[in-house]
Amino acid sequence: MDHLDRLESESIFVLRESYFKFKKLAFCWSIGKDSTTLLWLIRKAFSGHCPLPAVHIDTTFKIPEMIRYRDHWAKVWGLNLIIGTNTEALKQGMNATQGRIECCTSLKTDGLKQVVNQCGFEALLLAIRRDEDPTRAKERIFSPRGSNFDWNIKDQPPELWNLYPTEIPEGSHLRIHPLLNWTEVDVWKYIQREKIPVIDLYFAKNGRRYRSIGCAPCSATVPSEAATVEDILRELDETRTSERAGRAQDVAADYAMQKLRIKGYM
Amino acid sequence: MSEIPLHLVILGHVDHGKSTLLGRLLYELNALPEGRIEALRAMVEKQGKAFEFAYLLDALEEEQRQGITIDISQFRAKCAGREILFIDAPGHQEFLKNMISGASRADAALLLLDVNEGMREQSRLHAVLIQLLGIKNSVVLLNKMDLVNYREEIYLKLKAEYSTFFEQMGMKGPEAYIPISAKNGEGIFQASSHMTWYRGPNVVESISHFSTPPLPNAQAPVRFPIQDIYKFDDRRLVVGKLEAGELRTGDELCFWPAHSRAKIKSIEVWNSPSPQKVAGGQSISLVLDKAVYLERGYVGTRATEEQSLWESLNVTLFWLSRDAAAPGSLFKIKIATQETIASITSIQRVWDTDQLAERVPGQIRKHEIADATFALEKPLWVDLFADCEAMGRFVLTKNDLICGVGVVKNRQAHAITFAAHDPAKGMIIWLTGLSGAGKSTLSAALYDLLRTQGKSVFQLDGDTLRTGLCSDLGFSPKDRKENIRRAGEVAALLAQSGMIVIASFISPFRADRRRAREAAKDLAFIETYVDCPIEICEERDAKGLYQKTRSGKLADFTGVSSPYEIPIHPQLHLRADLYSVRELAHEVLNYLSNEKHLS
Repeated sequence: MDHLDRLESESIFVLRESYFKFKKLAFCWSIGKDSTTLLWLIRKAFSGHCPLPAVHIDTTFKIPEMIRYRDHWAKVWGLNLIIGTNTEALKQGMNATQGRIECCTSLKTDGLKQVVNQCGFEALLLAIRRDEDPTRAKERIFSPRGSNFDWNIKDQPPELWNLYPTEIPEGSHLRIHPLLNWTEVDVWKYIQREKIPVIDLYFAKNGRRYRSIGCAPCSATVPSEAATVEDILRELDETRTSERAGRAQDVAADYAMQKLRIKGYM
Repeated sequence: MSEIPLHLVILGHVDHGKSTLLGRLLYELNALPEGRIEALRAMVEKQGKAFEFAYLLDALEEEQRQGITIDISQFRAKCAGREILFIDAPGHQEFLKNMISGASRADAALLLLDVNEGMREQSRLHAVLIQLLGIKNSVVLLNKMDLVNYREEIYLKLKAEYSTFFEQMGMKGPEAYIPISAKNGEGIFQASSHMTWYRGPNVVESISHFSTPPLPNAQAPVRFPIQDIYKFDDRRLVVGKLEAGELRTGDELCFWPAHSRAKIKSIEVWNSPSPQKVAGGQSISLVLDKAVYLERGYVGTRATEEQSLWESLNVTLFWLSRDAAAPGSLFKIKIATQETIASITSIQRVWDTDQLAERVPGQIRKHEIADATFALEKPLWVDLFADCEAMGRFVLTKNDLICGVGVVKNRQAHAITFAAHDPAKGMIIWLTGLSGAGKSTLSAALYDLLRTQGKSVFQLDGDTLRTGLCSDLGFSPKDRKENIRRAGEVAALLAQSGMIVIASFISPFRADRRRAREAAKDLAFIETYVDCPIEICEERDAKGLYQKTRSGKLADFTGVSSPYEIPIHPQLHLRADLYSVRELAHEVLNYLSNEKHLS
């Protein structure tokens, strides 16, 4: 049993706890490598089945390959795909030029709010990791959200061993983070080991690749020659720049991520 | 193979130098994102200050004003030739629940102590808590030696004070006491030229000596607490984390509390061939050779192991709730996937980590550690924490909030023994449950199954009894009680003659069922709870009794206008809403043969 086995086992345990406790459970599939790894773990936990809906919040600004990839694999894997789009905000002209934080809050956070309220989800599985940024580092695996999706970082419930507090909170829903203790390198090693078909935007073309993907206006490529998972692992071994360096909303203001997440951002 | 990092938690009282130590470790271990240190140097230079390592964390501390750096955070780095996950736990008292959340994931701990201040309440409490949580390796770092001119006698005095404390607490002390100056970087990565009197290891050396988290021991007794049962396709999967031991296909398991047995037909792994064996510590899926009834909270053990259930526990616990706990307080207790109600029967001592004295144990208040005894409403499978951590630790909740956490130090067995029964004798299978739960249909199915095995079987139920023997009785509470008394006596007489009696009675009161059991004397009396939610019973309403009650034509109807007392320790608990009659009947048969009631 190595480090990846241990992480996989912990994640599967969390997924099975979630599935047992919550009848209204969904997972957020952003199409990125982390949530695709989460989807893989779900299929592993449930013996090849995906007994919960995949929620994709489509801002309509996603990189076009992402939508093609999503629709292809949703069909192959037989997913129950729920697509959420904040059409109201889009009608009123919301886009990144209105302010990156405003745009994320409106199209992603509010878009997710609409889906959760419409479908009545009690709990959402999200593929965030502690090492992504300092705010996510402080998360719990089972993290309650208030009625307005707000996150009370100052008063989080204790989390002891694997005795997770899985009761439905009084607020709106529970956020569950099965990959919280994984790092970027762990995820890539697992993708390599399991041969998970992640989207090829991560692999270098003409000397550039995406290290983190999202909406086209706010996701930038980084210079890289890494064309395979092995190359990426080698590259990560040598680099010390942050993974989300190419994500414009994170640097749009001081403590941008914190501001986004307190309001319910993923 | 990727190495499992050692999870190392860093603890200490506020202002004892945790930020400085962490800042230095982050820097020296090359664990900082690019540009952070340069940006910081430029910033402090602009402000005309000297650079300090604590600023590396203080840079994040800007966030603190917005209420952020109060929780556990972590970073991973290679240190002392091994992968280490450093977990920063907050030192402030009000964040103790965050501190234990971080510490519960740790294999080892560094406890930081300011030599100027000596032992403070938090230092003592942290020291006790890491032992309570089962962290095996720890080291005390006596920090700020530069402020006391690196004097050996100060180090020795504090070391003696701390050792005495551990002794008085009856605990194993730390592996080492290391004098350091986090500010000047002395004693961390190398020995200090100011403290040549100190011969012990520096911080990094002591980290290299910490034992690696032990891999699951294949020889350990098997502990498989069931998380769930899946039926996504034609396989019935029993899933959960194998907490201890090793399993192979063909192994026979015994599942508690039902005491049912089945063999492993296959170990299922998606997208890969079924392995022949699986080691502890993994989340697994099993297919069994028999469809024995199982549910979440059952615990699988090796069938050959001598075992029992436990209903009274001696524990040490840490209290987190503002509401104090006292004898008689009731909580929900969770041990692995098992849950029941625990009531505090007594409190032996409340540890006072501040005064080194024991307080009169009337109650346990917030942030106190205490030794107490619990009685469990339903007996559970429990190990001593020292033998199997996962089956010997627990959380207590009230209104869905965690109010206490602790470990099991000792336990007392459940009174019901699972002695083999003389198969030549008859027995009573007493089916109890709401009207409409399915007692009669189950009785009929069981009757058929047992008859095909050549057994003498008798079905006894309320309707047959009331037309003859009990025709003088009505439906007043007194008459209903008498009805059950007679049923118990008749069942016992029939069973004494060698019959297997299947008695189906709502029998809503525990006292009446107990009397029926007493009437059976030394014959096997298998109290079988046919459990079905009242909504479903009412929907079935085969006899139209619910409708009559709802329209006011029937008084004192069990479940509606009269109570049903759920059996506390039934021999069998059957979920008639989840399983077919056939499955339930087989479940009863499995039980009978496992308990050697059938020859």
